[in-house]
Amino acid sequence: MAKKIDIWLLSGYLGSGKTTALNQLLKQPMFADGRLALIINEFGKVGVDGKLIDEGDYAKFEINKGSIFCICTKTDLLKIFSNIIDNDLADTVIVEVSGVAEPSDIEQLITEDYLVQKLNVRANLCFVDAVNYTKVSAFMKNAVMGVRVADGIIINKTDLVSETIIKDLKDRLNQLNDRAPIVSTSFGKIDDGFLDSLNHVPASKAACLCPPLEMPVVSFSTDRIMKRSAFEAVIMALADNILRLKGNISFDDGHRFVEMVLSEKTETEPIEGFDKATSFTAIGWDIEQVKLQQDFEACFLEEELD
Amino acid sequence: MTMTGKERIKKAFNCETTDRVPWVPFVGCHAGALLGYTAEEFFKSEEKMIRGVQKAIQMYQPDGIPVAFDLQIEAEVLGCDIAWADDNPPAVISHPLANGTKLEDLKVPTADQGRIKIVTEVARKLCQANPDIALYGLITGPFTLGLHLLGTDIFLKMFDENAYVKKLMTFCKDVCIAMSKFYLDAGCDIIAVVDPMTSQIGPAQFKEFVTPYMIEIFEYVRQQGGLSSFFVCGHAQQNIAVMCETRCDNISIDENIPLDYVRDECLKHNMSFGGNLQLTTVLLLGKEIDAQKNAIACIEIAGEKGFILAPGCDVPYATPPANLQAVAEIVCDEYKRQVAKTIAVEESSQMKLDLAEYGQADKVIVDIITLDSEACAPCQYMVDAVRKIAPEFDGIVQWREHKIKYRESLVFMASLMVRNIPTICIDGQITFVSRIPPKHELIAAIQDRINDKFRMRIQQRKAVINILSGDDEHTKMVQGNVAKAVQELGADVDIENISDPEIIASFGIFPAQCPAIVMTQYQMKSIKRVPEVVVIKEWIKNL
Repeated sequence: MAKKIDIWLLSGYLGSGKTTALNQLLKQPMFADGRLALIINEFGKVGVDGKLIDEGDYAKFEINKGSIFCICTKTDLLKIFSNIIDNDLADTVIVEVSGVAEPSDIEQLITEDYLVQKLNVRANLCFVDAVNYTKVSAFMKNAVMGVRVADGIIINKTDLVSETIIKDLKDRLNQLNDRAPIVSTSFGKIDDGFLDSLNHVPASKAACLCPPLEMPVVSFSTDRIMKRSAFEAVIMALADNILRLKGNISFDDGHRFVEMVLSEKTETEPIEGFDKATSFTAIGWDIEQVKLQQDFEACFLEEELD
Repeated sequence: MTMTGKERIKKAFNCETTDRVPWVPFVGCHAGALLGYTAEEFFKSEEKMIRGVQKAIQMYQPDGIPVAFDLQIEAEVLGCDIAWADDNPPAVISHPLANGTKLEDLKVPTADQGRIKIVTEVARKLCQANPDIALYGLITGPFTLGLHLLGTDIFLKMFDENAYVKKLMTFCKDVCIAMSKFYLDAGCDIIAVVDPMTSQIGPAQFKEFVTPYMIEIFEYVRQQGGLSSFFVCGHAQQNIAVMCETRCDNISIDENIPLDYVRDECLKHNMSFGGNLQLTTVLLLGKEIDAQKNAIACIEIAGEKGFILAPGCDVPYATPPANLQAVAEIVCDEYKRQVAKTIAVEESSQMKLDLAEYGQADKVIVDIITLDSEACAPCQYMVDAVRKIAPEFDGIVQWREHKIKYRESLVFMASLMVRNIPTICIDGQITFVSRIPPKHELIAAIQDRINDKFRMRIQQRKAVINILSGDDEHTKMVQGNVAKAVQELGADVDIENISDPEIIASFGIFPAQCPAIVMTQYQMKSIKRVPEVVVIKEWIKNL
């Protein structure tokens, strides 16, 4: 039987560095030495990502899909896979998966009778933006799902955050998916050894391997004053349960702008533009929304600002 | 009394009883394909859109149909760059709010801007031409329009600039209300708010960033006397419950969400629901029977209350029209639905017979595949037609009815590759499909087969003339006469002279009875295959 075509899936939120990483991968012997095809698919970036990919000796396909529906994208992918197979265009295909697509959809497509005989998903790589992942994950379902079904996780843009944040982020990602090895990188550089070591688990199975986590978002907009000591006690107690926190808080010892990224907290002068003295949003991690809300609520003093 | 399509849809939207399931093919650029236009040619021309949708109405017998399935119309007017394709709707490729445009500078479009003017005129003319069909005005939902305008930064800004995202949603809601007005003024019956990107967020974010705006849009539609539908696609199961709280009249979903789940959630709110024919694997790549099976499965899961049968989303450009026509057939024709259902239930698990050698018996076998001639009029007429002409062939023709309500008949039907009911097969060949042949046609078809068989028998016959002999004058005379007869007939016959007493005895002939002639005939019945028992039985019966 003819050897199946290896499929590498590159997933991750738009801005997580997939395109940069793809350009790096194209230079590595693992991909540069074989017959390669690229499939590029990104929401609202038709023709743009394609131009950002370095030219080379490979077939390049862009999903020019007006419709943004995942189902319709499947139809285009199917056509492209069929073209690659029928015309024997490649031994390896890299698919840059749209940030708004579910990698499991693409895998499901490959299980169609005709394709399953010819294609083999080698691995699903998920790119995580060290700066923004903790912001976006609570709002975008696929940012979490992408990590859960990944065979390898690449934390990108690590040059822009502290070591503490990288370590914390790794811990959180490991809770979402304890099976996939995690590497940190800048500018999308990944070594062949890491790629070789990856074992693919079908997305439908992978999604069930770790229990789901609650990521509630709570917001406060009030003129009440927050007791500083109570607030500090809460964020210490919830050190493992806060992903992000950001906003102005009117403490009993002063008015401050507070930002937390995982366990790292910074404070500056309050920023303009809010109606209320205390206006902040917190994203929780593995905690119920009611508890997160109540714990912060308990920090407020009874009196309001004059 | 038969309802019009529009009445049927309206009743289903109100969860009232309908005479049959309503059917709405979501035809967008596929309507252009029906007339050979590219998607770009189609979506840019009022005249082509009207002709395309009319063609779809003629071919697919819908109860309702969208005016235009293109979620880029509003975005294009609001400054998003568009990339056109031949076989897809256009694509948004830039997001003005991510490229320096201020939200305050965006204005709610007017009816004469961009392609809004085209689609509203198309809506007006289609409504006039099709008063009995429910016309759907499709508008881009606020969250999806927000993504078009801002790009995926919207997910970051939900945390960083929550108030800005809400302001954007307010603007998008105003656009939705304006678009609803344009379509309702043009005569559309239903406003479908298509918001696929909401599948990207969870219920908490949905309630914060979608629900308040959707409630306003649907309330506006209600006040104007229209009906509303909320289209979503993708993995949006987590949001169905909160979608039901937006007070729309109907929710339409694709194959990524189980229909029974949506049915239960919607009916809890006495809300109509629709979906979820599979677009790619069935409608685009499958065959007619696959489309019918899928449609029947949807209808059966959905039940009789509040359901609209529809594809999960915009029908792909290159969808074979026969697949959608096949769905229309089982929707409009209860009998055809029963046939397809019976096939659908059994086909996957059945064994097939090898009937490659079927029909080689001397008699001509006429098989009539029916649902049941006692319960189905067309089946009865077909069986009667065969029954009446059979005596004219006086024992040469043998006929039998196969009622597919019995499993063995279904297996037989599948083995003969029969797809429609009723069908007449003559010696295993599908000859008359869903059509009762006139007497002379049926007789001619059987006669043709008899002639074919006769020709085959002559061609296939192989004979040996065994001359069993001693060494005497009589034998020589026999041998001479046989050789002369074979020569004069030009027959393909071998002549064997046998004088071994033991071999002669094996023919049951005594030496004293010689010279004798024994002819052996051969008939080729099977080559390089293992014939089924049922087939061998037919051969044996003719020995």
